[in-house]
Amino acid sequence: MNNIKAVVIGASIGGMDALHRLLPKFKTDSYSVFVIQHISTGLVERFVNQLSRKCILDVEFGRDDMPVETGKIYFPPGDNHMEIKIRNDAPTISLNKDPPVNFVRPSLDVLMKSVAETFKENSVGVILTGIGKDGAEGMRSIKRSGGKTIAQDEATSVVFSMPKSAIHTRCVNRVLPLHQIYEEIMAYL
Amino acid sequence: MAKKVIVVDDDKNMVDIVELLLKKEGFEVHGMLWGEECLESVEQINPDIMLIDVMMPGMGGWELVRRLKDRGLADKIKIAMLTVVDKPDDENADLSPYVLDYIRKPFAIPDLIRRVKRLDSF
Repeated sequence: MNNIKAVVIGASIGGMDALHRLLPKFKTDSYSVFVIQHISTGLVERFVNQLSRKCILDVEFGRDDMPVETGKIYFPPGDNHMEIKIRNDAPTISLNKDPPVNFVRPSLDVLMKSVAETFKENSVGVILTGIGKDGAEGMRSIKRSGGKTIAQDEATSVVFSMPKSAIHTRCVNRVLPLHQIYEEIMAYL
Repeated sequence: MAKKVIVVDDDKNMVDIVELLLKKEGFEVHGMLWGEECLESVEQINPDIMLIDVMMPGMGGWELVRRLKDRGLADKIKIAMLTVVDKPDDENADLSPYVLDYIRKPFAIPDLIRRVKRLDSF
């Protein structure tokens, strides 16, 4: 039985700064956090290592067949889709090199759909600043599975098209400035 | 060693201003007016950061990013687009992993410096 609560967050242009502000706020071990930042494979390791020094929770790259633990923030390694699947009754990370979705790999839609399926009403989806529509269908999946969804507002987004695409699905519970998003996630958890 | 920045914009005044500002902040700055010129010299300069104007005659900014990506040169460069266009076109969403910031012109000088330093810090 899977009782773990999950937060899944995605961003592209402008997201590095936003994630540096948001992720250090997570501080308890009662949930797991999965994050995708659209970033080149040449920069992702440095970015995640930097974040790990700022965050209270452990920040790790997901590995194939790695059991999901609470109190951790997981990023996919560069150029891999990351999904969460139930294996041996426990949420487990699964990586693959399937074709890009929405032109990107890792894709937020891929991750969010798997989180919706695995964690159902115990999931919260968050779309931050970015270009394109990656994550919009994933947010729809989370909402339909009983989870909650949040999009960053236009005023605090460097680029609003990714949050806007999610909002257009009519499956977003709240549209908020970046500095209010953590508190809203906690209210849902 | 000073971090290297390429600024490419068809507006020479803009290039001169950004060059002056960033040099004062300790960056080694290479100003250019054409995407084609930039593409020819980027390998030799090996920049840490690139500030690329979106709307340039000839090779536009997004096309320059695409060429850098196709040649395997964009992977480790921190790229920010400079633009008067309020919203980027979603048709370039496939390039999102290579573009980390989107700076609207006209910009306040302290904001530009803060954002370039932030890029450098990542």
